[in-house]
Amino acid sequence: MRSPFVHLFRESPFVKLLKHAEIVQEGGVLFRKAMICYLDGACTEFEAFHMDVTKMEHEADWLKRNIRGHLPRGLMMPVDKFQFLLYLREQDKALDSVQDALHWLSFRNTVVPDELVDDLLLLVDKAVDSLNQLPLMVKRATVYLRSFSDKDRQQVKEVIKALRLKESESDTIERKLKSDIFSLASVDAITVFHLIRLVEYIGDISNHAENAGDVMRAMIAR
Amino acid sequence: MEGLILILGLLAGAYMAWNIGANDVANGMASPVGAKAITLKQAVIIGGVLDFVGATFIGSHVTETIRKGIVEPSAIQDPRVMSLGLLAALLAAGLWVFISSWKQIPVSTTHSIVGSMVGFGIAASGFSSIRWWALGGIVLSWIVSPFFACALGYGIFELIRRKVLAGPNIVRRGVMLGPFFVGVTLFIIFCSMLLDTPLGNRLGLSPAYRTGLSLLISLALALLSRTWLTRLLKRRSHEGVEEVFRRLQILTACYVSVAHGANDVANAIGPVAGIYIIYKTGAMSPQAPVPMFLLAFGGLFIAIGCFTWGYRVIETLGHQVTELTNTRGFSVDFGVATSVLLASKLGLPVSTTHAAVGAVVGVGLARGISAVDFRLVGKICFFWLITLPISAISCMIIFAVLEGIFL
Repeated sequence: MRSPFVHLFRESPFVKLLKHAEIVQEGGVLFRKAMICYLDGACTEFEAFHMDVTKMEHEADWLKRNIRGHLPRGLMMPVDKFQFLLYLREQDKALDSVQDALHWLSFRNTVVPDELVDDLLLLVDKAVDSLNQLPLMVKRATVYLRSFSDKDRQQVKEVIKALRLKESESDTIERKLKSDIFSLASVDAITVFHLIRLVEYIGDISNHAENAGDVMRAMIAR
Repeated sequence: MEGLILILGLLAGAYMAWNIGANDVANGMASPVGAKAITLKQAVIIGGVLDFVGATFIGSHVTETIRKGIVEPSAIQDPRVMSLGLLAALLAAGLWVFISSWKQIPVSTTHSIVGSMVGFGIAASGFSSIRWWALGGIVLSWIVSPFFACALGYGIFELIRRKVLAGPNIVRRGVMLGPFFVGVTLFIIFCSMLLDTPLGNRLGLSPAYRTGLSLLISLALALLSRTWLTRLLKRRSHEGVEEVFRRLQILTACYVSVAHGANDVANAIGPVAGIYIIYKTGAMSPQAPVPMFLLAFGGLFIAIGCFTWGYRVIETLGHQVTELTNTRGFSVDFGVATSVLLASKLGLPVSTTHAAVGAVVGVGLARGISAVDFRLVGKICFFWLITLPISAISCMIIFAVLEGIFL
């Protein structure tokens, strides 16, 4: 067959982008389990969850490089290629932050004071919720880029709005937690430092997810 | 000897036509099959039958150009030399097309046959026998036609995107714009069939009258299509605007087939027509028109190519071009068919395949396809550049061999 059609169409990079988003989401689920385990104190599976997330991060990194490596010059896409790559970077950084948070936790066995546990879990939930939005956003963007319909565009914008809201809520909880940690009377400075940095890492998850949403907004701009 | 040359010419022409049917019909049929507008079986039937119609009723202009537009007939006095040269051109082009099909190189049958004709002219009577200005026009058309198809693909998809897809009530907008596309498509097809063709001449009407008749019929059918589309969407409104374009894609698939037959039959039949006229009259007669039965012969073998091998190529490509949804596929096919049919009416042998690539690139530029590899354009240009000298040189060699055997 000598038809150039064979070589004209390349695999849509959105297929792999969705797979990447799903890995990031899955990492979020494991992160929540790891956090609950850490807070429990008696749970012994923290390291296993930690290792699983590390493996997932490696897998996501490999996929990220694979996507980048298959976007050569001369490949035309429905969205700006550099924005696409920027989106991928932010999506990947969200999982990096998950990994950073678990690495940080693994360095020290800090007993989290009871008065912080609820807010900390709420912060984790906001971060995990943000990650859950990513595959949905990629799916909806794929639908929009096929249909170009206003309705489908609105659907993507709704997810972006949800991401912004979750980031804002996460920020509020993060600020409250920081304030509460500094007001703890009976804990040592190392514990304070460990917890403050942990809260920042968890906050970064929603930040990167929101950044991904902002880039997506630019990608679907008319 | 003339009889043997004619038989060999017919065989080589049949092979070329078969190859065109086997490989190139897929260019127009892959996207409607991929987007499930038509089934593979329907694609093969439409492709075969309408390619035959296009070849037989519209294909004469390009065939005339291949037959007598490239090599100056007065430069070659001996009809036997001319016959052998035309046979050599067919064999050289057939060989190059065979190698490129085998090695999966994106080569155009049009470029191969034009290159071979140039080779024969140079071998038989030197560089002065080539109508360089005509060749320049043909080569220019090779550059213009993909660009034109690209611009049409881009323009049509942008139009669909802005006026139909991006806005409220897209189905209603689709129903409004759909008949416009139906009207334009039918108008170009009717004009191609009725203006300056044996069929049109038989009607005995003036060209202005025939244009008016084409316009009137197209307008009436466009209005009818509006009623049809409205009814269709009442029943299937949930499937949205892609459903409108799914139906319109059937029309453009037919359109591409007619245009393909009209343009590409010349690659196989142009030289055969020359050999036949020399065989029949014993002399070179630039005035003698290409007999319709020869065009039908070419069309028949294109159809056979489509039926025997083309379906596999369509099936394979259909799996690859699933990105071409109905709106995209429609834009591509409309761009290809319009540029190719216009070129055919001007007697310009253009590459349908390259027009198809141009149209896909156009839709890609309009950001309609998730990943189009533009680097292929460079590869195509490279093979385009080497096809001319390769087919010309191989034709010179084959001509020298045939001269040694027959003369």
